[in-house]
Amino acid sequence: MSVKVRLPSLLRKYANGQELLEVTGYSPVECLHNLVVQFPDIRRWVYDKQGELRPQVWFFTNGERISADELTNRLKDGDELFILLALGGG
Amino acid sequence: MGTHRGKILDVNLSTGIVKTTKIEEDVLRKFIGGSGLAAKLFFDRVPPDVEPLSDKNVLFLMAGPLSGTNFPTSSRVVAAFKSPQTGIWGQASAGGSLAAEMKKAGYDGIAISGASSKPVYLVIENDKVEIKDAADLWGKDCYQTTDILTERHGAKSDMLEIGPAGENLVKFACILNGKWGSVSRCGGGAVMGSKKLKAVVIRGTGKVEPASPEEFTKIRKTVLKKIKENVSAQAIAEAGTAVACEIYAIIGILPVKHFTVGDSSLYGPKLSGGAISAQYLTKTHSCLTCPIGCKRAVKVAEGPYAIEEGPGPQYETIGAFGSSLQIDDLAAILKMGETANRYGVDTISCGGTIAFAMECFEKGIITSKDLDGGQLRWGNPDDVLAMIEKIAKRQGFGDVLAEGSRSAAKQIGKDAESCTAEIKGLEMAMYDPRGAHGHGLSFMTSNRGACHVASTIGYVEQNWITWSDVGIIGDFDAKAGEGKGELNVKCESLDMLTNSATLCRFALMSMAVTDLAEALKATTGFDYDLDEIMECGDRIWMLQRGLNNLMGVTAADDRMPKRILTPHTDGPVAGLVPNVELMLREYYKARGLDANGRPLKEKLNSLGLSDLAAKL
Repeated sequence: MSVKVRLPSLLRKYANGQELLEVTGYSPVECLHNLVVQFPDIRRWVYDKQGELRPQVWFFTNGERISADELTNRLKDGDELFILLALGGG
Repeated sequence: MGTHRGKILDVNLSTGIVKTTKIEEDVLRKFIGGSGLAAKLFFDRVPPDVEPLSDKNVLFLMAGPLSGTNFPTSSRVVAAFKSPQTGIWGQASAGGSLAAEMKKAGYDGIAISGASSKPVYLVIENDKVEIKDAADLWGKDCYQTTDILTERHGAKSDMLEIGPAGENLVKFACILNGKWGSVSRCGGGAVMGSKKLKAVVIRGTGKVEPASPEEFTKIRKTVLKKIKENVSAQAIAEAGTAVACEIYAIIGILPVKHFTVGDSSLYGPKLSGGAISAQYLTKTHSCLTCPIGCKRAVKVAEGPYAIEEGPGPQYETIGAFGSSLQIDDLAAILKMGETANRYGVDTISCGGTIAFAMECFEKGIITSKDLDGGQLRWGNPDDVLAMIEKIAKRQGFGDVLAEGSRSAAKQIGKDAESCTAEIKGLEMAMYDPRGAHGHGLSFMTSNRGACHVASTIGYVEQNWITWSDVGIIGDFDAKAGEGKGELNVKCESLDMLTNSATLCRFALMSMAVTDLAEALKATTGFDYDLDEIMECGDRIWMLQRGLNNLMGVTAADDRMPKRILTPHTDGPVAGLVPNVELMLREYYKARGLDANGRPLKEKLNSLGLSDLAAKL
């Protein structure tokens, strides 16, 4: 299953500057896992030291935010997943 | 007393008399330092009906018990005064090394009263205090002044200075801390200008030792580790505070067209920290003792908005001169930020006041005739740059806008008031409350007006940060009002503590509040615990609120600008408005305010503020 993953500007430098890339995975969490395998420097931003997904990681499927209990829901071919780091500024 | 010096330096610019005043331990324990101690000193010394630009107003420059140590982010200096912009409690802070120099020189704070008849600047080197002639500095911009004074007094000193805006008594003139910090809001620059005080230069050579060095070292290491592991702190380190632009645009809190447009999708990526890094960043910069380093040095090499390498903007400036004015040209925004810094104006209020004027122009309330043949068009950087200069110099219509949007609206008349977005006279910071209802509540209840750093609720209600040791934990809905009243009381106490300790809130978002109690205990020697410091936070807020009541603030002033109560028709928060009645009702109950917005006497007495209770 091939899904387009869009990255926030903060993470693009860890993915060779790419904003939009193809990732295989059946669900948002699986896509994220495979993204991190491909670009290991992203790991610290999205998983904590215990390997748990950080609460600041938000997922949007085709523009709609998905809740924590939807993260293992099956995606469809061609879906666009936006992985955002939700962080406060100043 | 550990890091407390137990004294304030008093400088009277009318008489030239310089002396020190002892601060009792009991006062230091209850009010901590920084903003809290400033409020206590103001209450004891300054009549609440003082004219802000008269020689009777006092400018307090304050350090805190963490200042002068190497505790992470213990770099902030606080300025407090009666605000010429709002007519109520004014305070602002900046990161740098000035607070450390103040402590090393032997003072917990400096109280500047009176007014000189001619331009002067203060030089404080330990117990040697000189009032020097500033005729050659008057008229110079903030960066020029910094360069001259650094050459004259050495790079080891630090300074606060004003630019032409402060000299011209622009009501939202700021005080710059060298080039890298800005004591921005509420018009402290005008207070200095009214005293003909161009700058304050401080150098200290004393030692600042924590009361319990071993305990201090332990807590310092703990907090340093937590900051390095905190993803929000690390994101700010990586991309500056503008890292927030992208997420704020997505969740609907990045203001567009002065809070009147809901769709912010154009601006998020274009104005983000990543965009700045990719195009204009030359290096990062840290405040003293800060392991995060949120500051950005930028350079625009060519084009109409070229600027030499220098301090770049934070999120608020990018919002205020960017999306709020419908400008997406990042180079132009960097130029505006630099221009504002040089002239010495608060970028939030300057951007907000110009946005107000743009609305007036769009609606025909003001015309090109009012603007001396000029225009103020949305999305036009050149119009904005021209107006920043006019405001700073009080030229043409700039003289009207230099009063701030609330006063300018009164002066213009017609329907100009409908174009304002201010609370208690302070232009709104760059958070649209329609996407962050609790944050909107904190704008209404903040003691200096529509302030974004008076409460940590903005982070908490988005579920980004928790402080479980003080019960700030839960699954919050940022777009709902229930429960936000009580939450805001606790969150406000946290920012009272950061502004009194003094500590950057980016450190606090990595720490437990218990860690702060430990740090204050280790530095001061006072056996603080969590409950006591939270009570200090409560006390400090109440004292500032009481001062505001004495200055005329009532429940009617805790209000939201009308435009925020009109829902957007598009964008991420279309159709939503905050339930201000519900939130204020809950807040007043949790806080202990009566229907008139005054603290309940029994609450004040319980906090040891019976002297305030007697005056209210």
